[in-house]
Amino acid sequence: MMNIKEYFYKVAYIISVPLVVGLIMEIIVYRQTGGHLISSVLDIRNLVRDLGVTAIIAFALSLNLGSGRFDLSLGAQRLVATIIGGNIALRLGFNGIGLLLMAILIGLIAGFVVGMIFIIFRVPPVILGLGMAMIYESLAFAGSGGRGLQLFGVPDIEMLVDPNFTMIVLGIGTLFVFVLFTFTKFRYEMQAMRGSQKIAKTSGINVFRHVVICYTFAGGLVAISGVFSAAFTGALTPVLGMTSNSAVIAMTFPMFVGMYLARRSNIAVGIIVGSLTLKLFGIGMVALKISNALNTTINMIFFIGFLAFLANRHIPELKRREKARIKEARAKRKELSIAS
Amino acid sequence: MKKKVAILLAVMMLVFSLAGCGSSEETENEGANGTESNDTVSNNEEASDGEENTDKPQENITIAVAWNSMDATTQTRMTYLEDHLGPAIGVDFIFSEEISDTAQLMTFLENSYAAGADGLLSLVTDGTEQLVSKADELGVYTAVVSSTLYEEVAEIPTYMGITGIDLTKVADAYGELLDAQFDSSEPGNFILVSGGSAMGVASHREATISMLNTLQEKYDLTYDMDVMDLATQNATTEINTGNEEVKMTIVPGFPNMDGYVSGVSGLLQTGEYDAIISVYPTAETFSTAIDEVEKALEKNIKMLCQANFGENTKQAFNTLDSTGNPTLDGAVINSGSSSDAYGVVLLYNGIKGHSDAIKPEGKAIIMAPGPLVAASAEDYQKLEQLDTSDDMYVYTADEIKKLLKTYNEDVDYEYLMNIANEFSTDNILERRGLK
Repeated sequence: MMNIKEYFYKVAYIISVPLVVGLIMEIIVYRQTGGHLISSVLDIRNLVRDLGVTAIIAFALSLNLGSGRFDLSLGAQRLVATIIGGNIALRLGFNGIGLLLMAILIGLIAGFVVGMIFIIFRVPPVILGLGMAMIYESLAFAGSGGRGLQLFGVPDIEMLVDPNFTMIVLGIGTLFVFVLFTFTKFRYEMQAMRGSQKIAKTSGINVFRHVVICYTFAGGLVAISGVFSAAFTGALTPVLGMTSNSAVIAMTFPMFVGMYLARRSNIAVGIIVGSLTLKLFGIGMVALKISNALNTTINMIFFIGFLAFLANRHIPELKRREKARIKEARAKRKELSIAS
Repeated sequence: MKKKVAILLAVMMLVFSLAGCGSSEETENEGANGTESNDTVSNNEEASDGEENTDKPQENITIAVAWNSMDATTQTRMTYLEDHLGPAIGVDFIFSEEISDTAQLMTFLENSYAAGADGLLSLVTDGTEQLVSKADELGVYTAVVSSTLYEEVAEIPTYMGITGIDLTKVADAYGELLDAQFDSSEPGNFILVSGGSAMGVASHREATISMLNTLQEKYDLTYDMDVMDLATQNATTEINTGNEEVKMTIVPGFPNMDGYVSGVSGLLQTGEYDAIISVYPTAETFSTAIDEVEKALEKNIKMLCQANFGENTKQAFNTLDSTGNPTLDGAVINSGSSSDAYGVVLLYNGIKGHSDAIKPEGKAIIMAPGPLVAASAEDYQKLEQLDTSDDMYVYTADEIKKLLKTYNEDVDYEYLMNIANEFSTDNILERRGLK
């Protein structure tokens, strides 16, 4: 049972990450431009909206990536769920909530189909993702006649751009992921499968059920981000040629940061905090008015650097222990030689 | 059980793989079935109304169209070409999917040639020189919806010309728009959205230059950099205007870039800007961000942008924001169907052996419609009916026939240039009986 001190230490650690990053960016922005990172309530509204989209996609990514599978069709699932589900909802006269629920439903179906194909035909995840991405992109295009989802001027959907609504939905999503990872066997199954699927299966885990659950929930979650994006920009247009993935792949950085921070808390809180941290960094980059190309380059350098850190973070500890063992062995040898 | 599920999923995959071939609704069939893939091109008529290839009249020619985007406006243009113009003048069309680079364009050219295309109308402005050269080798006539005539290839016999927006009139169009919204004696502060200007999109670059020149002339500004350099800034940049009462910031890029809309929102939140002027359609993209700032600051922010005919533009003019003003205050409208019609005219005349008549110097010609200006919602109300039905197209089939030497012996270079020069809002409204 965690004691109070340990609890507060973890909370302080989690909170400090976005605070420190925010403070650093505020100092840089102030010194370079004289402005502030967040200067009005509207900035907070934009931050909340962007955070909602980022965190939801990061949740979706973590479900499969946590087991070692990268679903390359997630962007296309987002597209087909938002466009097809959204257009169905509009034709049925649904309001914003109905539109969101319909998109989630289509997203769940889209994810379920991918999951079932994976477990039945045993297609490697990358190949499967590429193929399903092309299929779903074509579906989204053909199903909407090339128009995509047009939400500009549509009545009764104003709530979808309301940051309060975004917070509520994000809260529900966070709670869902928290419960899934904390009070169910899901997390243990995921960790077991990350090690070895064969051993996980042998030890009694129904790996097929777990995989389908991952794909299904990921599809439902990513649909939420598509609806919020479409509502804010007025439309979500269909794309072809695998370009739908760019919106999702950009969120792998927040996801990895979140999973790292989850060591001190849980995956849900970790991803929220990781997403917030990188959103504050992104706001700072925009406030500095640097070009998009340079912005992307800087982001990628940090991303690669973080991945390198993740891959090698144990090395200093291993080397320190190795040195200690060598020192102990030398001391023992000296002791034995003196004794003899 | 597993076997049954496997069979079911296989059937579903088969159905999904055919989804791109169209739907059962007639209206969707007219648009979607006309769309062909880059790699598998087949006759358009066969897909749309079930006619066999072998039943095509011998005098019909085939024109392939390479689209650079696939949206609602493109669907309207497809309908115009395929359903209105094509049957009237004996042209079959082959449509591409969205083409984004030169390699795809060249593939489409080759596939179209294999499918029997006599001409190609390209809306893809990259790789024009390669396209024209390769098409000439294949004997395919070409016309490009572009505002840049590449002199290096202008003398290629099968290259008929360009039909993009007349750049010489773009500055006047933005000038008219700004004059209608702002008084020279009352300076304002502007956000100029330059889109792909820094990324080589020629139309955006020219439009940005036009805006900068127009504002410079209107408010007697002195820029500290060359207008071309300002127009091609690749980062958000505040321009030194030499006039403290006029502040201008250039914002390059597109909404799919991370933080783009939030960045523009951040600029608006300073309360210093009175208008956003954009080189591409942004009424929908910025509507929420602008509305929030207007509510917070209790200030109207004008939105002026390039627009296309269609439901979205109509809605943008008719939707009122929180200050009671239209979401879209004014627009420079490029009539895409007019550019397409001019392109078909050039190609048709060339394919039918009348190149000499319309290319007097043997060089590709510029037949460019000017931009239209809707300075207010009232102005657009007159224009919104255009391109919505057979008798409301900017150029009807009968009018296009008069530009084809096969039907009208008077057609020559001068004749076509007169038609292009007459192109204006008043001219269109008068021809369509909307004045």
